[in-house]
Amino acid sequence: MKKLLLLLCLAVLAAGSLLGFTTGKSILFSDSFMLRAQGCEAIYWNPALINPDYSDILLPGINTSFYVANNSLDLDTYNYVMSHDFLDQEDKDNLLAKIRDGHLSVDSEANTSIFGLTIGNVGLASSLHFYGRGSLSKDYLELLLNGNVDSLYVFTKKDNDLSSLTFGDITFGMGDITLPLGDRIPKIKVGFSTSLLVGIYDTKISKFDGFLSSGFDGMTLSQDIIVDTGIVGGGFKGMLGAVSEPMKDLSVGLTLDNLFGFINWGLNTEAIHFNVTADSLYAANIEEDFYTETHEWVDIDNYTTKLPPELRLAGLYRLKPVSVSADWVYPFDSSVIAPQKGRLSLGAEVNLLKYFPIHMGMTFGNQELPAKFSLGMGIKTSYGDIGLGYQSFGSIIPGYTSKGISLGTYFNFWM
Amino acid sequence: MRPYIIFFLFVFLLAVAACQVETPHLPSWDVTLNVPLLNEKYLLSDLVDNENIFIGDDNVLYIKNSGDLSTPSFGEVVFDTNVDLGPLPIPSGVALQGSFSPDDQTQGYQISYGEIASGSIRTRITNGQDLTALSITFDGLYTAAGAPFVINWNHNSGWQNTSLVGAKMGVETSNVLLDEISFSALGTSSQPNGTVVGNIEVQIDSHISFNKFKGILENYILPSNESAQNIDIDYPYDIEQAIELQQADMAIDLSNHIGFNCVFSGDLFARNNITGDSISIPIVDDNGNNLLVTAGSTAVPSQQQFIISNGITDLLQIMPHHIEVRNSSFRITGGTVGNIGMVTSSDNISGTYNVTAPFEFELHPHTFLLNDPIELEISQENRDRITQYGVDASLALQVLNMLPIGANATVYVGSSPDIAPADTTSYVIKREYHILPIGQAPGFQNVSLSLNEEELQVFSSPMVYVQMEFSFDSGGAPVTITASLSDYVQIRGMLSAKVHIEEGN
Repeated sequence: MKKLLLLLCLAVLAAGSLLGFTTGKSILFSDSFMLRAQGCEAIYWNPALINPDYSDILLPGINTSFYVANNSLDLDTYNYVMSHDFLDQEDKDNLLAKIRDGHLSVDSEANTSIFGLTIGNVGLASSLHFYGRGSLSKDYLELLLNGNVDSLYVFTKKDNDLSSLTFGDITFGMGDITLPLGDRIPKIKVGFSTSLLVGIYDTKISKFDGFLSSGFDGMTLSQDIIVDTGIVGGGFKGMLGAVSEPMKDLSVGLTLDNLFGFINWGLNTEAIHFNVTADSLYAANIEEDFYTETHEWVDIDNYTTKLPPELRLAGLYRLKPVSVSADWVYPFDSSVIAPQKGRLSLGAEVNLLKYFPIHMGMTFGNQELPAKFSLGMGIKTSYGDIGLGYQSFGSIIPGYTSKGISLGTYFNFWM
Repeated sequence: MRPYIIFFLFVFLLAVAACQVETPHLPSWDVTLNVPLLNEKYLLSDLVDNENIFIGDDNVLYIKNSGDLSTPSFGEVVFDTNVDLGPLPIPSGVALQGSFSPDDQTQGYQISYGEIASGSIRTRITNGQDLTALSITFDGLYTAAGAPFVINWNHNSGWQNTSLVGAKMGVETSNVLLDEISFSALGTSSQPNGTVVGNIEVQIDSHISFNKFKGILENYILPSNESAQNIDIDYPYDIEQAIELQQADMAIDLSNHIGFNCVFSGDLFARNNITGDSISIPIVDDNGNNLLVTAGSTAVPSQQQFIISNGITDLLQIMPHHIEVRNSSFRITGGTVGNIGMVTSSDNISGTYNVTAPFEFELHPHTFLLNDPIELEISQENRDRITQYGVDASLALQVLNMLPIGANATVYVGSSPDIAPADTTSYVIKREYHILPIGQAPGFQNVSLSLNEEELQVFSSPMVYVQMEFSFDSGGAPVTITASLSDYVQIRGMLSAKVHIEEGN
């Protein structure tokens, strides 16, 4: 049973939700980064900011970010569990009381650059992305910790889900294009980027229905799961960006990401269908054919993972040595990338020491993830920027109440 | 100075963030597994074997034992017609007249008509040297074709036997008794008419048997076929040791093919093989009279049913294992026309007797051990868990008693199917609980039986057997048991085991 618990936890840890293309440095601002991106990172965040004054190169693996977080359990709970040899009933009750919204959900994400280059107002970059999301019903955890009682347990996809998506991109961007709007209104620069997406692996639960009851009326269970998988696919997405400086030191920007975004999985697509049912089962009649089980792999037609359009609005105010920003992002549809819920991020950079900028940010939480707070530090040299930082989920300062951790590094070579 | 303060503040924050993270180590914990074990419904209708126990129209269970009361075929009616006439002088050329009675004077049987299956008549002529021919013609004795029976002298001086097989006495359509059979003997010779030319003797000195007989057979005794009259009863679940029936009756159905009224007489004997008790009662109607069976016929038998109550309850209260009819016979008392009746050799009286007792009884203290234990197959996975990690457990039972009587139930659990309550080594767990009757507890009754760690280990066997034993409350008052689909005792059981979960499990 403990192995099963570990497997379930690992499965959940390996899952996550897509929240847009994160880069190494954006983590340090909790994704309030649209107007802060420059060079290669602007290709992903706002191509309007690609400009001849900032040309850089990204090297493989150096710009990397990853995070893993859950919605319920913090480090203190983890330490408590791991430091005890035995969990009594009070411990189990406390553990279960921490599970929010009926399920334990875990999100994870990893991004790493392969290469990047900006020259003039164009840029080309490539990176790898992994997104995963999983959730496990609180009822499953109750079964694992307390056992079964005479009750009906219902399991649905709402509380039990698993999806992951791994792909790479080759993105071309062009920016610094000034709209000819005359002198009466502030100058507006626009840009665009197009990404060729190379799908590597996709898996998602397309159906999850189950129930379990165990009592004097016997044990009745039904579990029907369909998992769709795809290996190797191709896709596309586009992005439009605009930026303006309506007043001195204040920038505002807008992006429309994931335009026409999709990945079509076509090389090897199949569905894993697992079904098991048993009705009014008693140990006394267990020698009979007491349950039916089917477990089959079925080839399925090509399918498409849609990347719904995403609107992002941002503002950045620079008041040396401090700059503050706010980003608000809203996906137009729910998908494996992200739920259709707007999120607001705030970011700041403090540059009291000329060569040692401090980055910080926060994103307000929602039902799926707690609020996240980031902190990082960089070094500016005449050759480029280098920095690292981390993010804390559910806690301003990474500590025992954190429900997740995120790390990011960046290294940009100026040209 | 201020920038450095901020820088150090940042370093401080990093230090705060440097939390201790425990090495991954999964603790252990206890889990309660509730495993539905059994759901058995013990229907009273399972008692029905359609051999001794049946369900009546009103769903009342009843015991019914059936036996045979048939007689063998009536067979041939044997007459002892003792005829011995002569010697009578034979006048030449003049018919000699004579007669004799066909009655069986010894038995008092009288004939109206009969078809002879066996028998003969013999004649002898003496001093008949001058006699050239002699014929004897009978009146009342006919050939099979209906012509007067004639005997012609064969010129021998000794006895002349003439078979009567196939001959008939009397006229079939006659409804009066045949008083006598007359004959006329005419001899011829060379002597003048009237001259005595010899002497004649006529004898019937052997039995005459009729395969069809019409007449009077007063007090003729027809024995029953006793070899088919025994009943052996095998009660299910040894219920005969637990109940005492309160009422019973016996129905005798008879079909009489014989054209005579009969009086049946006999005794009903019963014996309980366990207690040794036995009882014998006469089979008479409720007024104490023998049963009178009216006459029927070969083609249209008479049908009669006799319901007898007196004494039958006493007989069944010993819960007999063996019942038989003893000393039974049918005695002919009259016919269809006055005392005249008709019978053929294949006629008989066929009949059955049914002793019936509804399940209205008083209970005696007794335990019912159900025939077959319930088999539970325990998976290897659960066996390992119980063996290595079982802490304690309880056996939760829900009992639904739809019967009007309460009971003490005992559950035995063992790893062998041969569970014997008297042998404490044949089981591991024994628990007793009381079940209330439906009148006091209309729903499921909860019974919780805790098990210790040693008892729990019985569930580490590949097969576990659960044997149930019931002892119904003997309240002293009669109860009536029905056996509809809603008359049952249902037992549902769930094993609630606390299992310790730790690394490797």
